[in-house]
Amino acid sequence: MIRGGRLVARALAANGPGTVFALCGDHITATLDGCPDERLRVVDARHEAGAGFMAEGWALATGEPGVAIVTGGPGLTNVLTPIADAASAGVPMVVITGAIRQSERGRGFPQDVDHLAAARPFTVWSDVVGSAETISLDVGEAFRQARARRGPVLLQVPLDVQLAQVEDPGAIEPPAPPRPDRVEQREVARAANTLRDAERPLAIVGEGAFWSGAAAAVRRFAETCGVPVFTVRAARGLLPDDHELAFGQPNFLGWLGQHAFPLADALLVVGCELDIVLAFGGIAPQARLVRLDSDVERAHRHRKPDVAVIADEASALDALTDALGAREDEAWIEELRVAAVGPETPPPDAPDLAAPPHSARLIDAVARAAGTPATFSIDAGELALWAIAGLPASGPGRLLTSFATPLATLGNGVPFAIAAKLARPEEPSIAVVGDGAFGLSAIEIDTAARHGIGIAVVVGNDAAWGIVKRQAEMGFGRSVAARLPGARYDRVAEGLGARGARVADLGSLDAGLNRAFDGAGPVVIDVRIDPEPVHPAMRFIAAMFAPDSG
Amino acid sequence: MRGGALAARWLKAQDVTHVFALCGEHVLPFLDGCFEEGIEVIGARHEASAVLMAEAYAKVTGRPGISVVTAGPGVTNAMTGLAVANTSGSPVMLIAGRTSTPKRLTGTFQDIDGRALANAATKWNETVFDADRIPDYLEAGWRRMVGGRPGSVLLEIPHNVQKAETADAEPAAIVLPEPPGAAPEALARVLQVLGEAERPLVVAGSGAFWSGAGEALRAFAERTQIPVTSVNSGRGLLPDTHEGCLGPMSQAGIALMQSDVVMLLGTKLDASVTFGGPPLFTGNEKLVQVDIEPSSVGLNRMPDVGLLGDVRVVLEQLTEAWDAKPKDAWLAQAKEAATMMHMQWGETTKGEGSPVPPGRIPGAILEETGDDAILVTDGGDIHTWAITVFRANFPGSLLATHDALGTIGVGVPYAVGAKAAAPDRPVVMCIGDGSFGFGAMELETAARHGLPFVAVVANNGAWGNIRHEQGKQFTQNDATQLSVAAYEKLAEAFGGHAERVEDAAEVGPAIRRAIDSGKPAVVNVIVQQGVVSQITEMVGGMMAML
Repeated sequence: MIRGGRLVARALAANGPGTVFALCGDHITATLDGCPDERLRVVDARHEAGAGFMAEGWALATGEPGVAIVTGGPGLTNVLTPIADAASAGVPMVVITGAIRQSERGRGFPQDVDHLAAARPFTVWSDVVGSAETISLDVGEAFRQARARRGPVLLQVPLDVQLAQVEDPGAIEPPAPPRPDRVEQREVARAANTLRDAERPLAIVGEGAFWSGAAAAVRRFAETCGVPVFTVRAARGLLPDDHELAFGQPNFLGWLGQHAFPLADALLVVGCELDIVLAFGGIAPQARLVRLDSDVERAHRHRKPDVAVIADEASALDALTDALGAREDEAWIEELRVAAVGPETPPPDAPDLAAPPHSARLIDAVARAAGTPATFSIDAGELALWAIAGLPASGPGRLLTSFATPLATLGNGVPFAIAAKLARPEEPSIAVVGDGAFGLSAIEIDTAARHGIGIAVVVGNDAAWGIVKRQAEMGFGRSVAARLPGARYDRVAEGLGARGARVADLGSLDAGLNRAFDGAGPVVIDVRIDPEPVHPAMRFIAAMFAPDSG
Repeated sequence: MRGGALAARWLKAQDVTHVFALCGEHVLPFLDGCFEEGIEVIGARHEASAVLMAEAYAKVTGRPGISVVTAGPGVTNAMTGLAVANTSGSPVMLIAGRTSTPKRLTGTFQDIDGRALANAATKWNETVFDADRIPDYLEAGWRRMVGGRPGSVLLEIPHNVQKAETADAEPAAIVLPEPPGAAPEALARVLQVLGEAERPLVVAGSGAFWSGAGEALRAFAERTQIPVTSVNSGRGLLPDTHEGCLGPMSQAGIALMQSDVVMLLGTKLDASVTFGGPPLFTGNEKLVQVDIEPSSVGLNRMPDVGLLGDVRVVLEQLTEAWDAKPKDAWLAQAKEAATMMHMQWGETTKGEGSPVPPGRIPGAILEETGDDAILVTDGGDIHTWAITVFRANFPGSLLATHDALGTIGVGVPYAVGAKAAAPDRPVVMCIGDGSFGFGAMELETAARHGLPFVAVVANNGAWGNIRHEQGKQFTQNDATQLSVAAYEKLAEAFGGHAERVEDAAEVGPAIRRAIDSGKPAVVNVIVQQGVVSQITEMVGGMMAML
């Protein structure tokens, strides 16, 4: 005989990664107890949101579903923000929640919450395991759904199911992977023709390509067909930024975007939501639009394509490469390289070494101190505007942020970095967070310290909820409840068992970061930054929220 | 004026003086309106904390707590706070931003349906689409929040509605209906059951507090000499020091088990009163249930008499009509048992040595605080040490999580909200190390807003209560282990007062210095590992038994 909780653990081990993120609680003890026996590594967080964001970060770093295990009631309500974030970013994630016994519902028992209803706005699938006999089936289905529909799923395992003793079913087989889609060759031919006719084609490779495991397909496409490639969201770095045909983030507000996108005559968009981050598809309105997407609905959302190929992104891209064949376009690529450098700017005045550094200078210093390969996790806020533009994506799953998705939630930088470090212990994992954002998950520094997870956390401290304060001042001439004290977050880290370091001025920035990154982690570096410089995108963002805007 | 300013002005007309907020783009017009109206905005570091601060503010003042958060993740982060307030039956209004209506479903920022998820955690929720109608919606929400059994409500005000120009308005104070009493024949039945009882007992719950029944309860207790115990937000409604009060259930237990009639005032028979069953209830006692919420009556056990009405009004009616003999002999007997229990529990607070026995922490807090202090408890095991001995001397003087949701992590935001509600009272908290982590960042909020409180952290380097249970049923593993972190350094980092204590004799003096510092303070007490309270032992036993 075997207990249900042990079977949950066994099914998780069979279907998912060997690492799960958890926070203990009465209603989940039996499942956590099964984890060591099934050789699952349990990384226990300090807040369920921390565990949830770690699971999401794991998926973003590895391409495989991340797993979070929480207790019922407040455990589940605490993990809703990561679930919402995973929904917004289309990240496969499996959340296992404990719950009271099925016989206890509605009687005032502790932690009796309708979990599925609370999460339903965000989950692509959710269910309750009704009996210990179906655990392996239900867990398998949860993973299948998360992978197929690329989003968060919630599986509730009531206490009675976890405690039940059932016949030991032996080894658990995960469900068979789906067969690759048959790619519609007629649409592929039309797509190839469109690109063949173009003189200035561009490709934007998005999240769908990452989840379909299209790194090799993207590289083959770029190198065979000579089309410049931008990567966005989960796909950042799918063609690494240092590749000669990679042009990084498709930032329509940046110099390259402003000068290159209006010239493009064909735009290939692979597995990518054309949401606000891509101006709802308005980035190159003159270009003919080809979309390759596994999601038929997404392929037609926001901007109607001229040609659409609906299939798994990797297969579709391979088929397109075969159909299009070799293409050479050195002049166009050279034009982009020139535009990527931007206009010649006059040399800046000698910087004041005693003053706090400019955010862009901080980001530049972080990139240099980290080297490559490294994984950067960027938390939301004003600092993220600089970080997304300035930090390199040195490979797939190495630039993690939810700031490029519409939910733009705070508090995931530190947990993402923890997950990335666990996924690739040999590479540096660095979180870049604002002071406001740091507060939402600062306690997870304890998790990093406890488990010896050597992350580096760079806190860009402008003593404000910067992006909100800036908008309040722009729109209302004053800010309310948007100032912070510029506290010493390095000292917070020391209290939690990590190293702390502080950089108060530009003069000590590079040396300070190098010293901090070189030592044993985890380490939190509190860096004062100059709150004055306004990122160019702020104009655009502030216009969205101005009191007199439409 | 703009919609956001109108919303703030409407709240001002209801005498709202504080809102607990986390700023964000989608609520800038409302926050600016608060500033204009002179409403103090307390800016938290996490949205769940903002809502919990509002709930604590309500629990201390007896008036609604108002919180404001931005759209999208602001709402998802706030959910635990909403669920806590709704389970506790505390009147809390959350005003949330929402994507501008014309931009919905376009893939713009932070566009989520906050109401869909809030259905699991609110009493009522709505979205207002027309700036002129903001007062109507606020009023509708306010009525739902305070009417009947109070609870949490969510009003989404989309950004375009907050921005929209509306006519200047002078909102009026809301007129609430007079609270209902009971019909004469129902009263007569209750009076008969109580009058004939030999050993009746009253359990005053949260509903009694929200009906403002303090004076009515005192008069009833004095007139009838029926002993009173209190639970949840009912704690302190009749002060523990009152001669008719048996204190918390942990002290009233013997009397409760001996009673032949129990009258529940504004509490359902949920986890916080052991579902009306053992060990507190024998099942042989008759049950009288007075509640403003029909569905609270009869949960888990059929009452002998159920009475729908406002607790304060019904108590006044009962006191006035009372013509039976007072139960003074029984009161003396019940009080003696409670006093004995009080002393027994008091023994648990007297441990000596290093590391510190956990019970010493609530003991030291009691010794170092006067009758005017507000006490907060939060945690797993340490909460059970504290809740059995902490006194409640006045309504709103003891704040704790509601057992029916059992949320840890409420303590730090509760302390901040309590201090905002009662700036002249010392606020001292007993909290476990695990629980402290959830809201620890709010120490910074306390420092920034000048809202000092003392957090006494019982640090056993573990999720102690879960670890204990794990050890009984399974094998203890790392998922229930923490490190013995230097939490006092967090207070230091924010300019607060820090103490680290490893010996029992030093706990009291450290708490005294922390109170006297006038700053947000952490007293990090290193306590014995693997030692749990009798309650943890008992509850764990019940879990294993089932």
